[in-house]
Amino acid sequence: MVKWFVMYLLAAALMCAGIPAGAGEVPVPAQGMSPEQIVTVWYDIEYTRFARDYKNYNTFFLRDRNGATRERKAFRARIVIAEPDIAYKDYAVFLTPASIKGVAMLSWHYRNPDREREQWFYLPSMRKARRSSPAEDDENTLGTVLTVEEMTSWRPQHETFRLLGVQPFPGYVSSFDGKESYRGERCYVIEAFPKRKNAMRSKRILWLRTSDGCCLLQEVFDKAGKIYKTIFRRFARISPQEYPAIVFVEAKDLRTGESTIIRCDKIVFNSGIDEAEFSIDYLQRMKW
Amino acid sequence: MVRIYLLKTLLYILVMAGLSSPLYAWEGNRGALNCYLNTEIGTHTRDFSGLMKLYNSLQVKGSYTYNRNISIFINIKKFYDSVYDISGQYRNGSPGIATNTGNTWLREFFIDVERRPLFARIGRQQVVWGSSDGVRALDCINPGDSRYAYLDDASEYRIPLWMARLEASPVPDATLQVLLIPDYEPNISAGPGDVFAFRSTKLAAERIAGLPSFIRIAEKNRTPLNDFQNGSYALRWQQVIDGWEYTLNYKYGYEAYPQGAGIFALRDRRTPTLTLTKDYTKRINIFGASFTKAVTAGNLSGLTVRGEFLYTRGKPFPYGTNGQVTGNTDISAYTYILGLDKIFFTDVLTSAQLIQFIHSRSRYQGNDLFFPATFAPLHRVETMATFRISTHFFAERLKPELLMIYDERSDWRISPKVSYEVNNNLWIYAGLHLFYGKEHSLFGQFSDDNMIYAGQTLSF
Repeated sequence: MVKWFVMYLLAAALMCAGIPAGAGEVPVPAQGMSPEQIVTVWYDIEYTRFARDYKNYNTFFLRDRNGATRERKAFRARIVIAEPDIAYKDYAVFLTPASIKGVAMLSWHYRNPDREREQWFYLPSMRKARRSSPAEDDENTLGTVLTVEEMTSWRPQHETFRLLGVQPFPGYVSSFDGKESYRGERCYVIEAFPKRKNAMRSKRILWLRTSDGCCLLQEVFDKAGKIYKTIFRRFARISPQEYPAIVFVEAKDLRTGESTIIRCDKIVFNSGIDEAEFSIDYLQRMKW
Repeated sequence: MVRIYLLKTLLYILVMAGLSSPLYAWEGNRGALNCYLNTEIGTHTRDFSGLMKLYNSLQVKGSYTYNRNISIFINIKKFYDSVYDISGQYRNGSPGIATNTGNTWLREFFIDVERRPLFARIGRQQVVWGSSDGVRALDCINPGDSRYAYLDDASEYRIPLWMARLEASPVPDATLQVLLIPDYEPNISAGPGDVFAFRSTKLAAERIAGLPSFIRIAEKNRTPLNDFQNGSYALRWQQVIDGWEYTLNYKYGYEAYPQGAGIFALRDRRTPTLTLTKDYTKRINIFGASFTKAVTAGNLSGLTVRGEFLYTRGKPFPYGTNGQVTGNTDISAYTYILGLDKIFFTDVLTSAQLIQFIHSRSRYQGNDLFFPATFAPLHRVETMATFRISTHFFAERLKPELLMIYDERSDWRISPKVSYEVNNNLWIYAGLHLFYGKEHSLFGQFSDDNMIYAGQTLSF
């Protein structure tokens, strides 16, 4: 009896050791959820908070109003941390073009939504990992039409929400590949109002799919109530865990005519990436 | 020269024809090879026909990852500055100034071996310490190439060294770094007839030129042997605790500036000879520390504070009177740098630094100690301040920036620059380096060398 008990304990300990910190079930919207809870489901999906770690090789296409396109390839990795303070650590590095190859960014995000993130850059021209002031939320980042907030710093706690209803998605035709997506899929339509007084937008409208909480489309409105940006996302289930992941983003700035397309070329969940790879010292080991 | 231009034109055509991916990539992205071609032309602001720089460089960087734990990297750069071939003020500059000195064309070549929590990088490399911008204090591992007065990028003016960089990370956000450096390279600086020659170099040359012609001049360099016994050693502990990043640093090595001495003797008992010796074998001890902290909450949220401190024991300085060196001595020197960074108006990055160099004494045996770059009398406390502002427009395509450095002798350096990304492979840029101040001051010594420049970097 005692032997069995000890074996159970050992087996339990081994199983626990094998479960990555932060790993869990993928959340889905449920009947009776408040708009805040539905949006939190989307937040968990966008930042892959159900997985221990996430790696993504992607290609950015930066298009100006005349259609001229610049292309960047990047690698991004994220790890969810089982620490009381830090929620997750994020690392991104440009792989092409050669002129910005090796430019890398490390950021640590706190659990407290009101606490600003820590951020370091590696600049090949200085061969140095340098701490930087986090960019302001409304600044466009990485040459895209996406703001810092839309790319990294958004939290559900930064907004208030109102459910407008459940509607069939009208469909979205990508100007990049011409594909029409998600016509007729049922979505929660939720208005999101920023708590920040100095925010550039007055509100966003989020189209969150009822079946899984994925945000198919985001429409951003200025202070005059005029739409000025759309962000469309396409999703796929990634084997073997069948986790939902963003595989395509098309963001359009309707004021300038510029657009950004992010195509995810390869996504891997729970690869066992070491937390040490999200350290300043690791950033200082960059070669380029 | 003609060949270089032809090669560049051919490569330019190839790139414009659509070669946008890396020059070569091994299967499975295990390796990559990239090529960078840079051309820069600079002239005097007061006389556009007075060329100061006609620079062409070809740089090739390659990496190969053998497996998860082992990888190699190589960085080769050859450059040539044709300004020394063209008739004018700088024709026939000092030997070797127009191109790579010695084997410095091999910028980096190292192998990385990782077995967590241990890491080793062995080979020719740069190691960067400290948190400051534009001013070198704790960034003391690699010597510097000042032939362009440190106006170019830091990764370009640092002289790489052969060394073993060994690291151990006992916990995720802490690392002990040990550097074993059997290699020694002195600082490189411009000669008396070159574009950015230091005042001290010019004064020394004038003094020699003033000697009677029958005196023969002989030059001798004393450098440390390149082995571990005569090498340099350094340690750094780095850790992040509750958002505070700090380092503790120590280096036992050599001063990169030489101690100069001249000895008169009769060679072969009849030829009066002045033997000028540059002695690079002076050992120094460096104790340092640095910190950075980002304010993440409250009214100051978004402000980054950083600092570094340096104590150098046995730092050599020349001494003499009226710019004429009569000997060398060593003192204790202290340096601290405090910096603040903040983003304003959404995307305008501003950065300010206060720097003070504190010397244990400024006189020796009734003589002035000299600041090595100018041979101006050293102050007990020398103060500098820097201010940098940068932003971007058109989706980070157009990047203007401005760097201002103020020195307490009322001298300034002001360097505005603007860069533009034409396409994936081509950046063009233009800027000014403006110097103000008296002749004996750090920046004032270049007040006749204000430069306007433009260039392009083609990469693929």
